[in-house]
Amino acid sequence: MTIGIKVSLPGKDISSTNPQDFILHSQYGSAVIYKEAEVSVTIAAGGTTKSTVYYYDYEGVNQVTFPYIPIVYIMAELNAGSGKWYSSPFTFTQFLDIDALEETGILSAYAADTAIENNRFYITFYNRTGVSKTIKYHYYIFANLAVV
Amino acid sequence: MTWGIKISKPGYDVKTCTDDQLVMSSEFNAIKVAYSAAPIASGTYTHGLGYAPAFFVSGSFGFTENITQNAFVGQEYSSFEATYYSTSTIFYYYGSCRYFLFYQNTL
Repeated sequence: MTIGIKVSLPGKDISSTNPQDFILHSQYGSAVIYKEAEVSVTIAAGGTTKSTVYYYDYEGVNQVTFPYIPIVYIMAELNAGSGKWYSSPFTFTQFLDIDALEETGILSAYAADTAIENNRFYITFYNRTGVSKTIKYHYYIFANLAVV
Repeated sequence: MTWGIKISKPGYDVKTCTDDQLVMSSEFNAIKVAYSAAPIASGTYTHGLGYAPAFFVSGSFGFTENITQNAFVGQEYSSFEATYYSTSTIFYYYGSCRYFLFYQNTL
């Protein structure tokens, strides 16, 4: 007998062998959010801004370097206050991509612009208008799980 | 009264807090990881789940073993528009990446 916790979905048998029948099953790792936060970025008229987020421990005191590159998911409101939040994929070509009608966009053609590393991630926004813009993005860093 | 388990975030009362102030609740399903790998070249993985699983994938910059930079979830650096997919038998990945397959049918 193995020790653990499992919670089945309503109507499903707790003794099921199908992992999809469980809300929680300690035998199967779940995607765990290490940190989530919202970031404001100001981009000068016609310019670009590279926003960098370093990773910290759970207390938010000491900077950490993971022994792996974590999974990071981002949503960005490219037109400030629009309530329309874009999710990746962020495509190559800044002038042809899906956000071409928004006031700001994301530079993602090169690793120097937008990428995830083991101690930080960064994302570069550009402003296609003639006035300064402050936009927001929300990120989720998922605690990594070992390769099995 | 319904039976279940709830765990709130620090500083919130588990009896009164809103759903987004919970760390975990047995009222909501959680995506469970079926398999994870970090291949350094394109290929397929035969998962044997019998359905097309949901997945997260983060592509890498380059095709070497010394990857230091990955892309955000869903972002990819090939010249194609869609380079990762799952079927009821396999998961296809393009180039170096890290991926997670979930016990979660996409249908």
